[in-house]
Amino acid sequence: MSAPAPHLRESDWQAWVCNHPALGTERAGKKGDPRQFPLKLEGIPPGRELGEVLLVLPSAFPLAGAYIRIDKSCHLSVPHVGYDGEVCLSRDDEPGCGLSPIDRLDALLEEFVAAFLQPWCCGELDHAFASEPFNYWAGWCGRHLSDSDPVRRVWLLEQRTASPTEFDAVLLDQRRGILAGRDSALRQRMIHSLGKDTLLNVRTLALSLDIDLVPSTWPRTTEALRRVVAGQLPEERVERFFDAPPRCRQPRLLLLHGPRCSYGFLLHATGAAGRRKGRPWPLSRMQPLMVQRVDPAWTCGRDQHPEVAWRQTKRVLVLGAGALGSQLVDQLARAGIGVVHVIDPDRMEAPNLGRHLLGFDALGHLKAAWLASHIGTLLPSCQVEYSECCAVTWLAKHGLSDIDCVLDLTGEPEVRYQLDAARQNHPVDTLIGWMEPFVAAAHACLLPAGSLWSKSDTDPLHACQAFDWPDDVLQREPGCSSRFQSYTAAEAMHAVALIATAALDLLDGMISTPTIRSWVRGEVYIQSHASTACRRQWAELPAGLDGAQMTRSWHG
Amino acid sequence: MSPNNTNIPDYAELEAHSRRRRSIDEAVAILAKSYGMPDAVVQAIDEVNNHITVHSDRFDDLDDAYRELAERLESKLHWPRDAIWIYPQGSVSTQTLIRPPTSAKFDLDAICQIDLGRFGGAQNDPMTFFDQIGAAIADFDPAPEAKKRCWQIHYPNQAYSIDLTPAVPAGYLSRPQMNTRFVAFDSEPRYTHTAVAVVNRPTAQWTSSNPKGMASWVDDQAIKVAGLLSVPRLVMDAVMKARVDGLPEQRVPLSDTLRVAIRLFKRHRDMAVRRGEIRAEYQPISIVIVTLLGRCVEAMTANQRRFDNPLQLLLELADLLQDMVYWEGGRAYIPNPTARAENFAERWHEEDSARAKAFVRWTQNLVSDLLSLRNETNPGRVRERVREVFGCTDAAPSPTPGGGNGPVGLAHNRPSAAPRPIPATKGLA
Repeated sequence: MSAPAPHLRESDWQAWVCNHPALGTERAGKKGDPRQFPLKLEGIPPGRELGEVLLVLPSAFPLAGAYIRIDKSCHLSVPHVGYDGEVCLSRDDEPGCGLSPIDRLDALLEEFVAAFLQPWCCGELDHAFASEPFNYWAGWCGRHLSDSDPVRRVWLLEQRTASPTEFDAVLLDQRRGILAGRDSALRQRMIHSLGKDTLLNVRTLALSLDIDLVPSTWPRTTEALRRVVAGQLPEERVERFFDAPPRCRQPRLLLLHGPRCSYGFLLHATGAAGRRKGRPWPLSRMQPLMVQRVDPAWTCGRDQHPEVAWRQTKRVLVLGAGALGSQLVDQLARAGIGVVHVIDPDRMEAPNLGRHLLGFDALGHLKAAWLASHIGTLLPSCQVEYSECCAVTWLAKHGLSDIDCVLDLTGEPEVRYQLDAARQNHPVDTLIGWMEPFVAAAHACLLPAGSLWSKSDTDPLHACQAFDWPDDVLQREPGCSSRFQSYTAAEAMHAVALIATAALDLLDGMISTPTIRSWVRGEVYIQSHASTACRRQWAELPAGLDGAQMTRSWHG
Repeated sequence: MSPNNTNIPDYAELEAHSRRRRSIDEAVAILAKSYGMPDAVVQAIDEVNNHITVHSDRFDDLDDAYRELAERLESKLHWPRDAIWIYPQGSVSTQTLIRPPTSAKFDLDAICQIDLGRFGGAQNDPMTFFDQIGAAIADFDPAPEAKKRCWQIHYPNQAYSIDLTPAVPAGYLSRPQMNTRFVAFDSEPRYTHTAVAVVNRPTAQWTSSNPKGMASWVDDQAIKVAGLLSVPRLVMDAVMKARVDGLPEQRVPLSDTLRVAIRLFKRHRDMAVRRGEIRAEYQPISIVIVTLLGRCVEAMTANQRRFDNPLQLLLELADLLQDMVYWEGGRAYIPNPTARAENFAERWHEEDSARAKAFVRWTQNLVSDLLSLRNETNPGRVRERVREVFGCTDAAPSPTPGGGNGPVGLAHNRPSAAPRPIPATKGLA
């Protein structure tokens, strides 16, 4: 028998807050506003005052969480305080936590005293700013933002370097953001991705710091910034950067990269050149800016996947831009691959829409070209090239010497044959991926450089499948001789996941011997979708399994 | 001055030369400004001095820790207890320990002096000696770390760690055994009897040091400050009586201006690192600041300088620092006044003179900041500016909850039962 729900009589907690000895008289407010009760505190030492401290109950309380708020002026001078004065506690009040409203309020007050007030008064929180430098910097930048600012953010294309660097970043005027980084190709792809805009060069200087800055150590004047720069650069370079000649037209950006946070400072443009249509440059103040990383190590892995740096140097050839190939290109780009070259001669047709990455706007257009443009816009960290010819033609004309890995997703025996021949001239890691009808099974054959798909004249694809299929398993398009496999996009995602992870393992050097990985559906699915299929012995699954992934050695 | 010259630099002459040069610059630069310091600045400086003071209750059991270490050496190495002497060195012994601007623990320096000659059969090989000490303390958890000259012992439940430097009396070793690679400066004779030899692990050699001598030398220079300032001698006498052997009182009044200068300048250096103005690995080490300031006072005394108030003296000290570094052949020398053959600037020429450049940069910023304090005319801004310069924008911590005002908490609160734990809920940011 489950425990009864917490007692939620409206009158209980109302009376509690009105009669609590540590709560003052409720502040007057309009109906629907949060209710605010001053907290009576004692023992606060001089210099540690927090202004008025309030227990705030949202109008939806107890269905919404209560919180403590102190004077807004404490933001950035007292740790764990938001821009609106709300105190961030490690254990906030949460509805549905299992306590009654009164117990929740009691716990909130106790947490406030034990985890915030007492440590603050003892000085134990004085260095807490260092634990979240990014959040506090964001608060500081937020204070300085206004609607008329010509620049509101910096997008950082590269990780911090040990030595100072100076380069031209690019301001996108409409977006009011600065793209900062020395990789001009990546920067161009990002500019293209963000759309048409007016561009302006911004002279940029980037330095690394040993320690993250906190409110008490942020440079707040140009002179303070100059000191930081002077600690790392000779005086003549400092002067050249800071002491721009009168009527300087080019704005300047200083980036300070701490270990966990980067800080942007826009230095004002001088003279009449500082005024631009609609949005004047800051003429009298230095503007702090949030710096948002958009480098591949962050966007493709949040710094948790060091293999992204390795993948950025890789060039992958993808044969086939159909339902499987288009999804694989998207996965490779998101995984941090540097360059993908897509080969496909076909155009988008209406029946493709349900399971292809591209959409209605691509109808009638070449799949490879539109895929390259689409992925390039979505994920500029990956450079996507294309050739609008068939794979056999491309292999006949080009070698594989500048390719790190080939993914054959065409499902065509002639392509596999030509690929084997090309690989004999230039060994390269290769993956051959395909789906069986209804995605009853999917396979990824992993061939490290030096190993071949077939050791005989017979294509081994059918021999290694999970099911035997009748001849009429492929369906015909109405009024047409074209045949197709029947499956949905959701069903194909199993195959996409299998082949994508296998491809990345191959690229990351984790595959040393030829292997085939297979995803095989369970019997319930087969009976409802592919009852004509005859499961082969190696693909037998224990009863009750809806699917399984298996790995076998590949012998060709 | 050649590498084999044994004469110490003439610091009085350096100071006089520096003063002649600077007085012209000053006259030109600040004609319109008053030379008098607002009282508010001096008051604010005193607040900073108190803010950076480490309350001795943070390490009030340090004596016990020293005793325990000595007992370990006695029991594990079978050395006589009276041949083992552990005593503080560095900032604790010179009363210049300051709060770090971070939550980092204090590094308290201590000498572990073993009178090897008293029980014979002891090691002359420095590395073996160093390792013997390490073996005796190996069972600390976490295990002590071997540094360049010391064992760093961590105390997880304390606010400090101890850097324990093994040492032997200098007289125990013969002259050839001592490292004389550097320029040989003569030590002042009245401090040499306390000199020791410590192990320099990178070179696997003995090297000279004299922490007790250094503490005495700082004491002597600190007394001289009374002659530079218009401060009653009784005040200085009271300051000196507060000193006790082993764990000197860490609170120093503003009139103990040399120690206050050392503390303030160390704090300014720490803040320069925190602000990114100098790199942590290249920051001027504290002994450089202590030695140069002591030399400044020594030189000013010899030249019979007088100052109207502590802040004027602080500004002069800051301005003089660079000129107290002796240069010859493009190399910097800051000789240890109490130990033969020790040059505190020995690493200044590594890595493209990064440490030398950092020192110059830091002293320039220090002078600029002190000048800005002197020239501040807005009374409301003075205190704020002083606190900004020395990074004391947070309120001084209370040594006990409530700071003497009673317990910190909700007023008139009902005594609560044990806090009710909030049931765990799952949530992702």
